[in-house]
Amino acid sequence: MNTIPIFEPHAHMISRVTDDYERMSAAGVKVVLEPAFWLGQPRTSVGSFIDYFDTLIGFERYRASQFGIHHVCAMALNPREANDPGVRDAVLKLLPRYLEKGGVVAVGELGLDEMTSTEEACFEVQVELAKKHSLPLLVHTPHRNKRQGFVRCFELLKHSGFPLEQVLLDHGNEETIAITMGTGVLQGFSIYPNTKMDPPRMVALLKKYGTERISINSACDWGISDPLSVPKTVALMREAGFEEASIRKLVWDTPAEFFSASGRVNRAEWVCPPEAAPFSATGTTIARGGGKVPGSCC
Amino acid sequence: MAGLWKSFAPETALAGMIESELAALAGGAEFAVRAAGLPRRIGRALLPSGQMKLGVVLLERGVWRACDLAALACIEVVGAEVGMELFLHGDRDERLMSVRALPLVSSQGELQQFLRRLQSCNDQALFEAGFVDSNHAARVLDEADWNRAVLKLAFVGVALERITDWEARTNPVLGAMLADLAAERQAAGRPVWAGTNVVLASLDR
Repeated sequence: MNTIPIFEPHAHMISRVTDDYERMSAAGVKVVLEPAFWLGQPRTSVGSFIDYFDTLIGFERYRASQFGIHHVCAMALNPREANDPGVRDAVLKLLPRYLEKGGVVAVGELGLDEMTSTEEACFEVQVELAKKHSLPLLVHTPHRNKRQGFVRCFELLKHSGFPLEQVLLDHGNEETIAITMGTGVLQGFSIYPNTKMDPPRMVALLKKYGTERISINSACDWGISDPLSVPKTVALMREAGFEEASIRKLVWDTPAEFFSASGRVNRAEWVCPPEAAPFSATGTTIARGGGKVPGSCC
Repeated sequence: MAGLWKSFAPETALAGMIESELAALAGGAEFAVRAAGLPRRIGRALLPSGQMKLGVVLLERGVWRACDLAALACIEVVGAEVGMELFLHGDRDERLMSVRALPLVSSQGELQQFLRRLQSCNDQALFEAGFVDSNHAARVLDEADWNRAVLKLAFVGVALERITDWEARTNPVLGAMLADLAAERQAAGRPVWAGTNVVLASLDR
């Protein structure tokens, strides 16, 4: 049984079902961070973004609380839709309001996808927003031409003067770690069933490089992905002989410290379940499906 | 009536913080952006308990948080329409602030519409905040809306004594609805809302 609390620093829970929350809670996940991204297909109006952002700060947080999980989020215009002039400017204009919300603990996912000049312009605008709102960055890197994408993201970040220790550069792999190791950025690795990293490769990488300034996530979304990939990697790390302190650093201390640095949230509260969604004693509730909050740790 | 927030008699330190928020608005700050920071700046401490009467409004002050009062002060300045934006696009804290404040600055028609919207809210804490611990629902909802609201409160198990003026608004249609709910619960082997018999008995008197 896993006794180490887990901070899942990249999960698109809006696309997951309650079974996922239940299994994540049982596996020790105490906090999920949901970065704003696209929805599997392009949005055609800014209104869709507004409703999406409102769901991230509202109902999704409530939904997570029903399973004893804290839900925080990152807000940004994602790089894919940064290329859409029909929504781009309006979404950027919306962001200051959302970046002040209590549970918004980072600007993200901003970044590069196709590596267009428009993506870069939106990247730079949002780095400035992060400075203004005193938030760290969660940066998406391209899935194609990844190595070059990492190099370019890094160049943009260095040029911006943004403190690199406040940057999570995500979706790394065995090639990109050579670019990021020792730079100060928090190096993110997404663990997928078929693409990106997988648990055995991740454990091999951790054996080689250690757990300092590294963070792992499931990046679970609407595609073939696994919301339990972090706890599964933890199990594999134990089999490989990693010390508990080292595992805890990877899946709790490092992401919790990174995302609480803004001061928006009280990190000490994260190990206890959030204020439970009220359930009636009758077994029926307006919270869809009813249920109960998993056991408290406090 | 601007300055309604002062009727809550906030302690000096809280009043000072609220005045600072109002000064920021007067200086051109955008409430839609600043509102999210009210719980961080003002705090969530509950006000001293006690029933208050503000014109036709009856409310329990002790369920209000310091940030709720600050939001009321700001919404008095920026208007109910902007306050409604806080409900529509706010996080849970902002929505709770708007649920507390909006009924005090809205017309009867606006409040009816707001409560209808709130009735569909899936977050029970927000729903309760609008429908109990004040007479907002009792004073503005027509019989059909009132009955639906009380049925939902019964459905989720809110104590009858928190439903202000329930006795004055009880009616035979509501009694039938509650009796049906009780029958359904009994058939399912689930507990019946404790207020059911009290309401039904009041109809017999």
